[in-house]
Amino acid sequence: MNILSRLTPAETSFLKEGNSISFTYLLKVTFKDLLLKNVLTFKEITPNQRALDPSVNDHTYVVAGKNFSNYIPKNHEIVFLELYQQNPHQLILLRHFMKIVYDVSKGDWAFKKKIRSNASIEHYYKKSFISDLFRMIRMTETGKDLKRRLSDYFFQLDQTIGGVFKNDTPQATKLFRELGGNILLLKNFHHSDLTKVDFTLLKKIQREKKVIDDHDIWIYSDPFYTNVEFDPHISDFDKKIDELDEEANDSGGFFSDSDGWDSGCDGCSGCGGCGGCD
Amino acid sequence: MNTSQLQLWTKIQNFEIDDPSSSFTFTDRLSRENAWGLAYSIRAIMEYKKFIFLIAISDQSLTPSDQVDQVWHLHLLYTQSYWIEFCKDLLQMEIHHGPTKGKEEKTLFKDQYRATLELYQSMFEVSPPKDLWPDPDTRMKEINFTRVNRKRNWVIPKLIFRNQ
Repeated sequence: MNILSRLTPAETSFLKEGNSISFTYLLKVTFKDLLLKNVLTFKEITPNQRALDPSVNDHTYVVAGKNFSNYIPKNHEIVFLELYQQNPHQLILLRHFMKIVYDVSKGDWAFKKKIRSNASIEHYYKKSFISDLFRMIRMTETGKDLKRRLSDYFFQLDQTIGGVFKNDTPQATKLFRELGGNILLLKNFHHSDLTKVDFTLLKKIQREKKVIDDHDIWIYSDPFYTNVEFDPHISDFDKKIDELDEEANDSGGFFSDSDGWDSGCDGCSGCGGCGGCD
Repeated sequence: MNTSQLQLWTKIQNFEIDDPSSSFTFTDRLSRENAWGLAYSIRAIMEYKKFIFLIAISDQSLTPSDQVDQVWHLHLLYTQSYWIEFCKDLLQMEIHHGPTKGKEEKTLFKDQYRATLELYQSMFEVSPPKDLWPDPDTRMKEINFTRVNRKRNWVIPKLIFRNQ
């Protein structure tokens, strides 16, 4: 399906599953896709405090990746990239990044609305004041048809994909060219499967084409990772997003300011008093 | 920025104010105490680091924006982080905070603030972001802050009518 190389995994999931797809899943898959595109990356920094205390761990940051400056984000991806657009050198601790993304996304309806507003898929949805007022999502006939085709395509792929990623590099590369980040949507996909994709070949194809057309697979030809080294951080992201969502639901809805996540301070171990400053 | 300034700036930029193992970090506290979003607080901390860099490389007295000053105040409370890890180990100099002595210094601080904005622009080759570094008039006008118990009080913004 040619269209897949132009759709982000969040757009594909939303087209395929409709409003039943969870908002946290869409956040998770968007983050992974941006990592895969090398628009964002992780950076480990050894803190200064290590000199005094060797047990202090490296700190994990989310930073702008190699492709950040060339990348034109879709509406829902801006949630992840806004801070780096203001300052491309911004270092954000992973734990803060997760909270920011959750807050800035502004919850289920707002985030899905951003996805629907992307030029690549907006024409698959009917727009009307009434639909917005009652928060109804209605697809056009072409949209319904695409939804059916996507469901069939992924169903078949999940049935037949089997050992492609284990044994067959040319097939894995071909499939990756076709799917792009949508590879993340395959049921049995694991990050280590990416080691079977020939990224050098993808780069070569891109160079030969010499143009960057709307087939945006080029951005994947220099992925941030092809191994499982960063899996624990990705799992941390997934877990934290779920926790934040549970907290928001427990507190009776989505929150977006600082009141929601802390109701007081942990106190103070005391200080020796203060003589004022100069 | 020359090479040694660039090295210093990289070190300051990489300095971690937060203790990531803590459940309530410096950035969390800064957000809560100022009713700022986390993203805004993170940007304010970066601007604070820029300000400290400017102090470290400059002989003149500089004045921060109120937002940057709030980050500075809070950092001063984290004495181990500020005095030992930041000033002594990283900057290798003591940077003291000098509060105003009163209205008579208003012009002085306004001039210093203006000079700070100019130095910022020349060092970082970008304009300071307006939402964290307001213009000198606004900086000197909007200084009336109060600590409010939000359990007992509502905070409602005044309506501002402007002829524009």
